[in-house]
Amino acid sequence: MSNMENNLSSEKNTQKMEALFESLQNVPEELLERSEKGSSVDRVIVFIKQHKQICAACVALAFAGLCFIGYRSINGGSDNAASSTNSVQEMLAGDAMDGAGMESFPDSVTDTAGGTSEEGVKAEEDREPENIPDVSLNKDELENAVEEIVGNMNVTKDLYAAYMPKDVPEDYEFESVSMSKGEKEEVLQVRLLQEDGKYIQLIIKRNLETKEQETASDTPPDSANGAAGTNRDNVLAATDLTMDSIEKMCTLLAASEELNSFIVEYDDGVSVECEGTAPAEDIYKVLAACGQENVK
Amino acid sequence: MKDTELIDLYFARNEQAIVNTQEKYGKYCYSIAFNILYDREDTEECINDTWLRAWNAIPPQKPGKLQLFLGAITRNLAFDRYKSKRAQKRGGGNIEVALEELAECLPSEDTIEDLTIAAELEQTIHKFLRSLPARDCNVFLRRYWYVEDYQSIADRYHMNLNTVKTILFRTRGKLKAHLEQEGIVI
Repeated sequence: MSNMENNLSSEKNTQKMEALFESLQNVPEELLERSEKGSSVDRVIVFIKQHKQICAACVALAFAGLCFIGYRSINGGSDNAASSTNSVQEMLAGDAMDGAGMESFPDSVTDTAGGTSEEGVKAEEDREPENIPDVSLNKDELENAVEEIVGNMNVTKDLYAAYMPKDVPEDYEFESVSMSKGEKEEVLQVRLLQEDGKYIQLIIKRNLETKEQETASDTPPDSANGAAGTNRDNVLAATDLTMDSIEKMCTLLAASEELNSFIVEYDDGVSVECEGTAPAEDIYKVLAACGQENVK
Repeated sequence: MKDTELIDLYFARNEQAIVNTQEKYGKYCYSIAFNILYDREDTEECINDTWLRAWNAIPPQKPGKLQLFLGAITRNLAFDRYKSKRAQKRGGGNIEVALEELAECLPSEDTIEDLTIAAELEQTIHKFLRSLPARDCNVFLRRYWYVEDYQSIADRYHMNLNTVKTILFRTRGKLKAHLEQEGIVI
């Protein structure tokens, strides 16, 4: 290839990269806002698909839980919880990721900003899974582990207990489960994945401000959150949750250029934002298996 | 000063609006522009352009989130400035690396069916971002919207540096697969 062709190819590639960069310009404000708030989130727990990875995450969780309990006992109570949860988060996130399978990790990762050796990173990440026993955890064991840790930390237990899907359709696996709690809301995010790549994602939010207001005034909470904006076409009351209503929502999303998800609102002020590529029937099954005790 | 009060000043055509905006959001906008331009003089000019653009835009516009509104203007202006400078010479800093990383997300040539228009690409990327776990999406946006370096992202979210790198690497791979699956051509 001549120099001129090389230059043309390079220029074309640069234009493509720039197009990709520019396409991020109008990212929805709520996503940018959320990225601003990241540091105020109390903690995040992540389980990643595949047994070895779940084991790694659970080991990390158990360790984090023990550290947390130890920390609380040393520091005399829950007053110090907020400051300590950051380090717990770091441990959870870091260890879970370090333990994650890196089978598809490349020989090198582009890096000039980080300043540490990528070879070292890869070696560390490749080595870690081999040390994890190949023991599978079933869903009950997984839930028990979460319940135990969450219970010990006294955070998001209610949300998890009430809204974690009690059952999932056949052929689906939990790809990830994460929980976080900020000043204004707590969030449980569940992502289910099927072998063929179809997925269902639930973002379950409890607005803590709404909850406080509700307690104070004993009036019904506002509709759950701003994700729906002023357009409520994609909002469904939990009492109206039926196979038909979910099919209608899926049809609405498929026809809409703006809407990517629909929202189910529960009487206790919790909203479940749902999106995915799975069939309506599967989405209905998952939604029907979570939060039903809160439908009056 | 609250954003609503600031916006009221813009609507009243009171030039104090610019002074107060600079006080409140100057650092925020500066960091966005500097991450892209990597040059103090260019960054300062870009920031001045941002205030002017905001002054001309409000009214009629009434931003819901003034910070993000200003951030988007800054990013846009800084990137335009970067491109015009790039035509003359290579710059440096975060943006060069961030762009090279984004090249990994470009779909393979053999997926070409039709030229994808910008709006379609934008919608596809928004859909992709919404499908990501919150943590991964946050890290991705800090890197490719704010053009922050890895260490800043790690500090912000109290993560290991390696975790940030791993998340970004995986997310780029997912984005590439997503774009190919959607038949996107850039």
